[in-house]
Amino acid sequence: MKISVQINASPYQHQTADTAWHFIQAALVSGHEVYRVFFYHDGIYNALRDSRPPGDERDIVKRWSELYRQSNIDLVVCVSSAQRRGLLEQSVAKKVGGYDKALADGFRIAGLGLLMEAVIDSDRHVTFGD
Amino acid sequence: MLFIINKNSAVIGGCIAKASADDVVLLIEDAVFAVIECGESPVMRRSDNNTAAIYALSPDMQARGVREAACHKHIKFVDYTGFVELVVNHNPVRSIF
Amino acid sequence: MKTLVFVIDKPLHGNVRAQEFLDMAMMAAAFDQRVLIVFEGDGAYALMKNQHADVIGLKNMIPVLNALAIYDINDVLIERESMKSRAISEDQLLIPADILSRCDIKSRMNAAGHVFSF
Repeated sequence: MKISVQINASPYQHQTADTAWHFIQAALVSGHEVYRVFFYHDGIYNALRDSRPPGDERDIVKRWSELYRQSNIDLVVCVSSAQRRGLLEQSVAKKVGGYDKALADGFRIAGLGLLMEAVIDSDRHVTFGD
Repeated sequence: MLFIINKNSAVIGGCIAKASADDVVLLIEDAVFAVIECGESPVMRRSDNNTAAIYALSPDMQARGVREAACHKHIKFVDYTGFVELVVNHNPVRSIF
Repeated sequence: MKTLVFVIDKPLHGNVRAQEFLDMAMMAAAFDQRVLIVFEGDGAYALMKNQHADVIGLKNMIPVLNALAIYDINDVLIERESMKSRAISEDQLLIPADILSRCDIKSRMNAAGHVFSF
């Protein structure tokens, strides 16, 4: 089955990103396709490259990047949620003189249309939040 | 419909009240505290028995020290694989925050 | 075409989530999906007249609610029980909405492809 996931909350503040990650791992092991993970609202903070948790803690951002590397799952950060919260896509950042290296590996910034496309094309959509 | 609830709040009672026998309620994260058998609980089975199946996510229970033996007898337990199965077997899915 | 339900079950003010939530609904309509917006619980307060969000420096949500019809989102439902327990009458509603029972709303949701909440 084709499943899409939406993440609405920031990492560490709440269990959201952990639950979603475990859910995705289980879905992949069970042979399902995880079509896209869409980061919305404060969920965009999952994509901050410079997150540096203490060494004895899980690294949530790195875990997403590894998920992309291993499974090639489309990790999409909503552009309007991101801009509002100070996370800029590289070309936009260059244009406005903002920080252009904020986005972690494996993520891309795109419009809300990609969420809708995922919802329409998937058999199931599961939202995780706080 | 599959309801996914992640807080131990009044939402659980409201959701179970409106759920019907073919619905399923999955309690995750802090909502797993609601399945412990103690006094008046929103997860107590209604007397008419025409009520949704209630599942709790066992890894979240283990993390919080909630033992299956301390839970209401009709609660079912799933791991993340079981969570995925519930999603696959039910439509629509509604997460309630 | 899928039927997508967007449930507003909490008040709209104080943060940007409701605004971003309605953006999703409007995007769904732009993708020609059948969109239902449901107000229930404390979300029923979101439809009350006499809101002045600017008093606390927030964006006024009323134009967004009024714009729903422009996006061809005409299925706006509000739960009768939620209105009753909050002493909200039909003449206090900001935009036209179908007042339906909890049971009727539940069956509309059961038939949907997905139910969004925030």
